[in-house]
Amino acid sequence: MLKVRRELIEGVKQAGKKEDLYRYLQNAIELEHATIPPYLTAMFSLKPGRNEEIRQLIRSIVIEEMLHLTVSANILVAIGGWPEINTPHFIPKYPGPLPMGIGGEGFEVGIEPFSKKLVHDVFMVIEEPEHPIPIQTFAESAEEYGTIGEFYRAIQKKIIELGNGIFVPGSDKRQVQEWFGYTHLFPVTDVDGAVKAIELVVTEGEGTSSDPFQSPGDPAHYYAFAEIYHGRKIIKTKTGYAYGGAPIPFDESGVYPMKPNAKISDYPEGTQARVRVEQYAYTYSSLLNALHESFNGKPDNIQVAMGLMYELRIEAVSLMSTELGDGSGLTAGPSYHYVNVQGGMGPASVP
Amino acid sequence: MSYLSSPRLCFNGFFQADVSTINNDVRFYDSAHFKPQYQLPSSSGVSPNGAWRPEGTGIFRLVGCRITGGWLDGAAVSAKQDPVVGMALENSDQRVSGKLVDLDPQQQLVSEIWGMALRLTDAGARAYFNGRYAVAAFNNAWTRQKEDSAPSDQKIGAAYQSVLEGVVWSDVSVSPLLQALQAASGDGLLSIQFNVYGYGRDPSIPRYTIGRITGTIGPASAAEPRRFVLGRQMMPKLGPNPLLPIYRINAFQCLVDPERCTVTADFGNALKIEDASGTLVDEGELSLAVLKSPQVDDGAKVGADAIEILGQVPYLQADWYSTTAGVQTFDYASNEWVREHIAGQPLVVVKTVDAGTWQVLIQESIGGLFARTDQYVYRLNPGESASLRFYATRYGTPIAAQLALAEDNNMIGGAGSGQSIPDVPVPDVGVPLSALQYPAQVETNADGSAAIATVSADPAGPGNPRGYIDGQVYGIGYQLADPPQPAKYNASPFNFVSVLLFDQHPVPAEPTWYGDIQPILVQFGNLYPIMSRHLVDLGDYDSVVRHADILTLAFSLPVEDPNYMPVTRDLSAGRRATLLKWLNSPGEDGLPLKGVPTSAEAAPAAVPQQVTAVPELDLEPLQRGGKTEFLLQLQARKNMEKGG
Repeated sequence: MLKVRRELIEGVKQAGKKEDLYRYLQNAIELEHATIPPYLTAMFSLKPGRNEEIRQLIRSIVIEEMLHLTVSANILVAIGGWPEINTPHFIPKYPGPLPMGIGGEGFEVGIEPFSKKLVHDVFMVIEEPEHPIPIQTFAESAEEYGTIGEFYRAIQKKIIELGNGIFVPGSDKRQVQEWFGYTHLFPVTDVDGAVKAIELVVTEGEGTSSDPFQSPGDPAHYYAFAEIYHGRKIIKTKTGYAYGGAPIPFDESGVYPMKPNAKISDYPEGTQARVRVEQYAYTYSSLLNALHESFNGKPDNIQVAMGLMYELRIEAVSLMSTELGDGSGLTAGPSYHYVNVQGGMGPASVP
Repeated sequence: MSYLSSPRLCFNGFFQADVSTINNDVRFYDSAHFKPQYQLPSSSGVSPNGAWRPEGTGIFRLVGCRITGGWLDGAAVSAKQDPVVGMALENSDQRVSGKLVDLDPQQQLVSEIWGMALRLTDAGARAYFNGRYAVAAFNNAWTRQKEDSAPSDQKIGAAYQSVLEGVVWSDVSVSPLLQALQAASGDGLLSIQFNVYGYGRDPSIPRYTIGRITGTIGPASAAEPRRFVLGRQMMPKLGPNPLLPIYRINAFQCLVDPERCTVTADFGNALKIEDASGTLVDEGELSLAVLKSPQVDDGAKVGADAIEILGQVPYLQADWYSTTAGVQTFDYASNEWVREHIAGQPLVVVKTVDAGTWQVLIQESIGGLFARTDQYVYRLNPGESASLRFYATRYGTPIAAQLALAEDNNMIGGAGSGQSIPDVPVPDVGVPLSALQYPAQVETNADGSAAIATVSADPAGPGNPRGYIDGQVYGIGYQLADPPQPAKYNASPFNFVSVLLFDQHPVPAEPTWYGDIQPILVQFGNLYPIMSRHLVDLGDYDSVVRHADILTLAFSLPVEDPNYMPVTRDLSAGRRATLLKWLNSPGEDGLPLKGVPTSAEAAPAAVPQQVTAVPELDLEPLQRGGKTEFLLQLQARKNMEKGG
């Protein structure tokens, strides 16, 4: 069962001034980010021209996670804080727990190629709503637990309580505004804006308590992953909702057999796999550096970050099509470590 | 000031040039005849194919480069003396990698690095300095690696010289050398030179798309040329193969410092290597010397009375190459004859034959005379012009001289590869001549400042002379006219100017997908499948429209930006403006206009106005689609022309 550590929600509730909220908004940024490497990897592991529908579903979720990260960062900036994104600890250890104890005791998230099991056992657990709508077999009752949604709502409530005075005039100039469209991303300058922005994050992630769709035809993350798992689109029936719509086909051979949960040191120096995994980690770290700049006074730098995202996608292809050649039948898989240099060929070896 | 000045840093490591090889054959630009198999690698066994890296990304980056040595106050610097030795020379950690870009499939010998930024780092600092690499093409592409070392390795090495611009320094108090370098450098510049060699093209080896790099960073000033040193130029005698000097030492440059009484010579790209490791081939005992006569026959044997030895080149010492990048300083303070005469006598490299006899392997440009343009690669849209910056020197000192400029297509043209593709003709290059205008002469300045020769593109453009590929490539040669180029002068085959002149492309009032956009993007998608397969299907309206935002950004960036589209830099201003207008002019459905498919009859025939015959080459699959094949094909074509 999905859980956020209760003390975090309590912490938000106890906050007496805006500075007390900084660490919780930083937590939210870290949490939103923490889902991106596993989702992105699963998406990148789908070979070109295959499983296109699944790719698009995951892609739309990844983009929304990026939006949520941006919203949290903008709110933090709006009340005078400074997001910290370019540090080694910003990237969680994979496989490992998500920030804030998301997913509850013993729940770990890794870096794996796409599979239905991964979607079911990990992604749907990450995105499980506060009150899942019973859909076919999904009838488990929710008792006492803290969810991501609950956490966000606690922040929402606290911002209302602290009032418009906590917003720093002119901070909208330092907020990232591009790429998501104005209806999804807008400058946060007061309580109303912050409430609206948080509402959007919660709805996109979980849907509403009565409707699995965040907007018509666009199910919330949990239900979108469930669609992939069940292989059918979700539809409204006379008795509620069912995964009974158009098929979402999955071609198992259309997935790169990439090595899961790789560390850079798993690959021997002086191999193509090692060079490419270091390159990927470096580009990912550069992306975090560029985002950090974007949220710390240079919002236009988001353009640079976009370029890095596209380069990462291209590098993923080179990486995941590199055979390890160790008899495992696997190809190289990415590692998400914050690095300052890229090597991999060894000091002087010329194979 | 330059990388041959003091202080300087030497670095060593690897580079990756993840180039796409499909665009190495001009005939693959003919979209009407393009076949899917041209995107397959040579390992697929089909022929013709897209050579050894059809899914290349274009990325150029340093890999595992470290500072391995340095030079300060007349002495080499070790890690014990200065923590700068051991620091990493890294790519930018804030933006995408640089890209390696050919000028044109019919001129592949001036590959430029675009959008690269470098920084010096270690655990103590993100960047002691960082700067943007000013776009530069390689030069001096000589055969360096032994032919039998690894069949698919690129045997040609080359040298890049440029500057880092907009250099920002942080606290460098940890390193005396860095402090001195910062103090010596002005104008936010640093001079940087590196040699690339040992490049792997075999997909089954770890070095695939990766080669070795060793180079030098020194001070720079805005007043001096960026891409060569105003110094002493050593020029080899060439044989039938223009990339293979007869006496085995490639062209290199030296800098004489009369105050310190030193000569600093750059052997980094001059010596042959056994294999990709960079182990230098034992050529015997080599020394740098001053010739006591004005000139000598290349390869001549001379006695002690003919030369004054400056010192041995310690190239066979272990780690010499990796810790100095082949840059060696010789001190002549104690040699009175050299002190008096070095300013007006040529430098030579000699090989010890026996006691009292030496063979001259390479000498300074005859008469000490040398002419160069700083930048030698240009892209021009119709109506645009460029300022070529010329210099002439005698024994490294700037002189007033008259240079003659004329058409020189010796190193450009051809198909690019020798594969058999009978249904697509190969366009002639350099025609029409009238589309590119430049003066027949330019006079250089004795004060060391650049003399400007303006090259202009006809506002009407070249008139689509190549049919299926945009624009035309031109070569502009130059040489000394007054003083005249001496007899037996060894000129460098690389010292000419390459110009890509784009066709005129008026922007339509209402560009549509079928009418205007698809023809541009399909060609790019054919040649750059990593993009088309994995990011945006450039041949598909829906896919392009779905990515309209990012495409608009990429096509709007300045050409120096690492995210500029296309990374190949081969889109004219008119075509880019057409793309942007289309992206920014949605129809009633809110999407860019689709239009209607044009019938094949209505489309203009994309055939070259003048064609050239190309020989087929019998090559190993991994030799195809690169510099080697481009050169072999040029040579074969010249032989064919000679034979009638």
